Amino acid sequence: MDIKQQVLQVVDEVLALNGRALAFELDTPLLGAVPELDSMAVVGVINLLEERFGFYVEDDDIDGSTFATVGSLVAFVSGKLR
Amino acid sequence: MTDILREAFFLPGDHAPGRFALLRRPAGEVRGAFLYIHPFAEEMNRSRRMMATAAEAFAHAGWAVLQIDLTGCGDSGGSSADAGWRRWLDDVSAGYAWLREHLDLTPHLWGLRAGCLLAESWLRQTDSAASALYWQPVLSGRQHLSQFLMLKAAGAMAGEGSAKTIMGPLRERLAGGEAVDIAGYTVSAELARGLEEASLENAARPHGQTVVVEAVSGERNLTPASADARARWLEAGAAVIWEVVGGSPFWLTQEITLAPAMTSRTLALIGAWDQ
Repeated sequence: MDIKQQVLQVVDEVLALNGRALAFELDTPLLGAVPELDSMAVVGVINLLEERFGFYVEDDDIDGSTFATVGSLVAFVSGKLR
Repeated sequence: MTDILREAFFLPGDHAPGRFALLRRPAGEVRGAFLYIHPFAEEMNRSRRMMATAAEAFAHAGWAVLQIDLTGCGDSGGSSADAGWRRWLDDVSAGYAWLREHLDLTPHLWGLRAGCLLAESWLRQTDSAASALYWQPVLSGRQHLSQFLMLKAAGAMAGEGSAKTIMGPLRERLAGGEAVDIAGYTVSAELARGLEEASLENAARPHGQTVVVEAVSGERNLTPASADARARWLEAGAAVIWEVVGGSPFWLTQEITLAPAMTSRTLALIGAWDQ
């Protein structure tokens, strides 16, 4: 499974979107556009990404732009895995 | 399947009315007992239903389960400002002693998420030979604390703020011995330090068996962090079984979800824990 699909799987599970997130494209907006993505959910997504992919998010790694779109979130995860 | 009895009561504690406890036990013979230790903050709330159904299933299978609410976590006395790592270890001691005294057997510990860290800290500190059941354990207390502090940063991130501008001052206040307020919880510096120092990344307990069960949706592989930890535990000679089953991450989903395979697989794995 590629990184985008794994990221979307995590988003879908945490937000309980019942598969809706799996059809998101890279330019699909997230923060401010998906109502289920509140601050608690943002942390839930970070939490599950850390555990699934095995990386550790440092304080200065992320800001609001990380969660702007599916593409920005996938790019962030890809960067952590390099 | 045997009938079960349920009993709710307060164990004596420093904060009135004491430590809330809920006991489920088979109506007939008790084959063993677990003291259940809940997760930290929102993960405790989100996992309530799953853990209630799991405890019911354990009781139907002959196990007594005592669920205690740690000090300052809602049902026990005290506010979240009264919560502390050492106090929570005392809560575990109180629940453990009650089970041993009233059921006349050696109880096992059952933790979920950060509850596993607390259980492991307690076992290491008391040098107990009790066995441990860990569900979806938080492996790194340091990482868990960061994730919790991130809750405050996540609110700011919806604007233009970065996580660092929020997290930096929070960490400084905790390091200076001050409490911080996050998402409706007051976290003392002592609690933060205790959590931060707790870890399951390495085996450091000489006695007892450990069963770890994790749930993932999709491919049933251990996560990289869990696979590493499992390898280190085995290398250290620990008596550990570490398995993964299919299931929803019920401890963090926005809606209430369940992972029934965790219960059924666990009951099979602990079948030999009778005493």
